[in-house]
Amino acid sequence: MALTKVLLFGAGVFLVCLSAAVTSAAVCDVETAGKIMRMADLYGIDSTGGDIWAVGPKGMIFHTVNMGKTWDLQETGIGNELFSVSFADNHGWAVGRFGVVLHTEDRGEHWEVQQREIADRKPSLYKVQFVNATTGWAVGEWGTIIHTVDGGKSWTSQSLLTATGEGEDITGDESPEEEAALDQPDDEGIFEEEFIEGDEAGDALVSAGDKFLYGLYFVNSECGWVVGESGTIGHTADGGNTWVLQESPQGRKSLYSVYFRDVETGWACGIDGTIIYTNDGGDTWNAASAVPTEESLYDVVLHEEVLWTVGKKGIILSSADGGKTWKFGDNNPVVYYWLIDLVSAEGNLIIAGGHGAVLISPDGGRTW
Amino acid sequence: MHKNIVQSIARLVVNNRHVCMILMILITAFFGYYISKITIGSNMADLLPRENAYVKLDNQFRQIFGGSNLVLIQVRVKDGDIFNEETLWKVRRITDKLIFFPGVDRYKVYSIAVRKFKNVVVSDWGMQFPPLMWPDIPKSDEEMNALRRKIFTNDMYYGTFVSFDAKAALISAEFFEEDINYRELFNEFQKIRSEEENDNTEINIAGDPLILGYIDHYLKQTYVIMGLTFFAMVVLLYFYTRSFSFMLVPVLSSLISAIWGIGFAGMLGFNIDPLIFVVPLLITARALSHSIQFDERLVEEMEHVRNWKQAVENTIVALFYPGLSGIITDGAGILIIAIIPIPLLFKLALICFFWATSVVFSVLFFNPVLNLYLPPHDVESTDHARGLFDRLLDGIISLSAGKNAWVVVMVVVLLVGGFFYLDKKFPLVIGDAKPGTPLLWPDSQYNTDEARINEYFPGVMNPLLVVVEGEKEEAIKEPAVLEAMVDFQWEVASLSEVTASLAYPTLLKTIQMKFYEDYPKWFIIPDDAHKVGVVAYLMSGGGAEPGDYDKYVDYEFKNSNITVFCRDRMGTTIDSVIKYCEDYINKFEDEDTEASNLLDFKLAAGLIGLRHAVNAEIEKYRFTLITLALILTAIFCNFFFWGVSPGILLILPLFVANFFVTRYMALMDIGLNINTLPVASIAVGIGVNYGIYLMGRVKEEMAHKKDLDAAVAVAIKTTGKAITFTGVTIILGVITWVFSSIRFQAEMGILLAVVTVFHLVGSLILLPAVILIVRPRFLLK
Repeated sequence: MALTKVLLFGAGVFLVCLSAAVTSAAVCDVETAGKIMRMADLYGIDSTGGDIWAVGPKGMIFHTVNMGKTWDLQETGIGNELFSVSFADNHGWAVGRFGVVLHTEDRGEHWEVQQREIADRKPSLYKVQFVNATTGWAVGEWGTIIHTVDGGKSWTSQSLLTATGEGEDITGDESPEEEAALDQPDDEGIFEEEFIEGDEAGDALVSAGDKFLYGLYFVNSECGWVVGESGTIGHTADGGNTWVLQESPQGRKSLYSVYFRDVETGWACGIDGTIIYTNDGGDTWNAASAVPTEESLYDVVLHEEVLWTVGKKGIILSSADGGKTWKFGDNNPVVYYWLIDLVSAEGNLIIAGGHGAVLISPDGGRTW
Repeated sequence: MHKNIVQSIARLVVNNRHVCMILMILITAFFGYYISKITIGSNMADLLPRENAYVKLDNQFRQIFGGSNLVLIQVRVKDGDIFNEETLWKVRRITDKLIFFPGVDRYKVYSIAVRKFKNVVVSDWGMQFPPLMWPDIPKSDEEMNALRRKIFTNDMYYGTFVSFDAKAALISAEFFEEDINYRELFNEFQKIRSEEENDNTEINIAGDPLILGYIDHYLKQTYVIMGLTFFAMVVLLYFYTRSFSFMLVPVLSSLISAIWGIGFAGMLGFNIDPLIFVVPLLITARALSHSIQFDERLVEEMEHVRNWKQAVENTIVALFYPGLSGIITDGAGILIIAIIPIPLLFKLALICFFWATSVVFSVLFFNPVLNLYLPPHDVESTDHARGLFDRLLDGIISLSAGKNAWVVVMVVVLLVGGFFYLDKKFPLVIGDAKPGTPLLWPDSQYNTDEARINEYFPGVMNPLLVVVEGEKEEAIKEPAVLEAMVDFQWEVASLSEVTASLAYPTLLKTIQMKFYEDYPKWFIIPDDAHKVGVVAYLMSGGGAEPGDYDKYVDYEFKNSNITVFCRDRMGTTIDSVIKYCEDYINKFEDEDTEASNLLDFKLAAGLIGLRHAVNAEIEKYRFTLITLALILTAIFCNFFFWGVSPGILLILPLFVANFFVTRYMALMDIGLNINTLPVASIAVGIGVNYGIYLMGRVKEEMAHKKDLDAAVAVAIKTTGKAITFTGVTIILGVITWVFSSIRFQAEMGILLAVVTVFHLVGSLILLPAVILIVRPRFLLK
């Protein structure tokens, strides 16, 4: 592995803070890579105008102006996990656990809480994307889609189920954990239940409104896609008012991220090495033919005509033929933990991952 | 004062030498018998202050959480990684062997090869917990890769039992301190090392029980060194005196004291810790010095009275008070150490007190009696060899005469001022002042091993357990509590002294994530206690055994802990971490949150908690110790010299010596800990002896001449000779220690030499100078 340059950084010294009710979480200067720490699993990353922001647990937003040589920790005042961040010009939004939404209009000098949580089930928001400084969407647990046209001051709720398609949620109120508990084999190890094939089809349609949505991508303020668990793909052409379900060639394999280059051409990646692509706006999706891994892939992005995807165990793959075949990069850095978010900005490929991993390549993957 | 009583005693002894001799032999035989009963060895249980809050906490939770008396074994490959059959089998073999080691807590042997380390498998059928790598070692490439993947994606193992680069695997074991046989343990570990090491595999072993094993391993060497020291002193004595009998008497006297002292220990059933051998050697040196003083005086008396028996009697009378007060102050200085509530120090104080005070009998009774059996010393021949000393002493006398006295005092005052200032700026470290173990050299096998382990698994050697006490059962299931634990982990991880931390929430989150296909954004704590309960319930099914999660949480989910791994166990590091935790906990308790009502953070168990306890006790009693020692010494001196000022004058050099020793230790990165404290404090106190003899002589001379300057000069010339000789003997004697494999002994040896030099200067230059300036009344009378 030539030219390995993994930037690991540490969070700095915290001043003692803590009160849950108090707004400002005290924060100090980040110690630069003098101390490598097993902290800060980074869930989301975005970059614009030469700055990079990475978000992680405990409401942490890390920021750099010098391509990661040094980082500082920005104040957010909350302790939720932040799962995604998206910037448009000087405006940025970060979303996370329980449905928190943060907003900044000065590149992170100050962050305000636009929404603390989404009532009732308090679903977490997993991905946020703003196409410009006013229009954006965020997706998350239980089929949550929220949309704003005023820069996040107000949000409206959208759903994959349009007014006509509202159906009963037959999976009930049990969480997957509880479902598994019910299915727990007894002590002798004899399995009592199995999922029945027939349920699947009905499942997908009827409870689409409850599926976890992990990824989204809008090419403009009208046309976009969301993807999520069990192979859910949704498409809207009217800014999210109505949605159409699309079919994944990989069946119920969860999809984690989606990316479109224009209204026709797009890609999505997911569990077990799933990569699918479409050339007709999602009417038909095809599976990539040569994916050299069966690990989960968490994000996919197009960078200077080459497609890139990242995933579990530090996997970084690229495709030069529109997503049909993929291979490992020759100069991939050695990373053991997962890589989850990938962004292409101003000629740089930037990846965020577990244990504070931030990888930056200025030359399309030749060096990191 | 009560010269008549002393005279009568002296006469009694001299006239009844046979009776005295027989008595001495009988008593010596009595103690000699008990020598066979002693054990030489360490006992870790002795190192802990029983009543300390941290020690009690550790005792309370040790059974469940563990965290002390750790030994870590690292298996490291040079090429490739550990995921191959050969290496994994090594891990397996070592793990299995450890379970049967003497004194091991077999439920606290951990490695990737133990049954209780589970993997999590979630499938459509539910959740299962098969062991990670038990009972079979993976064979095929596929199985290997599967294992690799399982470990890499599990925070509980990746980085803690397998290094990040997968080149090293860690096996840890905890021991019951009461059951440890250090010699056996040491041999077993070395056996593992030799059996499993090969060209590609390196084995590193570290841990407190092993350190003591090394000390035991070097015991023979220690005996040799002690023997050499004694031999060196004897030889020096002979060179000085050129008389066989003159040499014999001090040697025999000190041997007798030794027999009494060691026998006493045997009688009490105490063990003698090899690390404290230094102290008895000191006492032996004192015994020698008292004998030498006696013999010097004897020769002088002989010169005057020309009657051997009379000379002996006179000597007893003359040296009775100085000798007695010197010995008693020595003893008192040692006994005071018993105020520190650490069993090891208590035992040491008791044994050495008895040993030191027994010198009274060997010097004031045995010594004269033995001399009576020997032919009278030939004055002329013995005088010859001292010419060198005479010239030296003449020079020393001039240093404190007249105006020079002021110079000396000024210099000392400046020095003390300087020391005081430095003490504030660079205070002495309580505890260890060096990483690894300061008892052994940095390039010793032990320290290099520990450094290697710390390279791949930083901090795992030094766990601090912060106990999380829930208000009620099931408290640990509350998300608020779990989040509070995670918050604590974040806070503490920001310290540069902390390398990592481990706690139950991490385990929970790992399992939680599995429900959602390992998607990283699900590495979270569930929303409510019910959901947590479900996860916990699942964890206890599917192949788990009772006690699997004991390390993290107790059965009722009432108590848990956060294991904080510290970079090293130096006193300063421990202090920082504990203080930070204390501050955080105080703030936490002040806030009235849901979490703070549900749980209490309690400091501190585990190895670091215990270390802190010991350091705290030493810190607490440190100043009391020296102050009491000085006061007691002063009082005794006042008593024997009958006045108020003698005490103050005599402890002046001690006072300065204390600063000196403290500075020296701070400079040489020697921490004040359970091993160095007795040596340091006894070394300081022992210097008063020289002063007492000198002062006693001055007083004596003043009775004849009434000229203070002349009296001081004579005192220096006479007692000074003995003082100097004793000092030089000690210094040259401990030189051999520099070659010890045990760094602690080498350091203590040098410390002793340095302090002795200081005492020489203090009693031969400083004290006379002060006497000449102050011109105290009790001397002028």
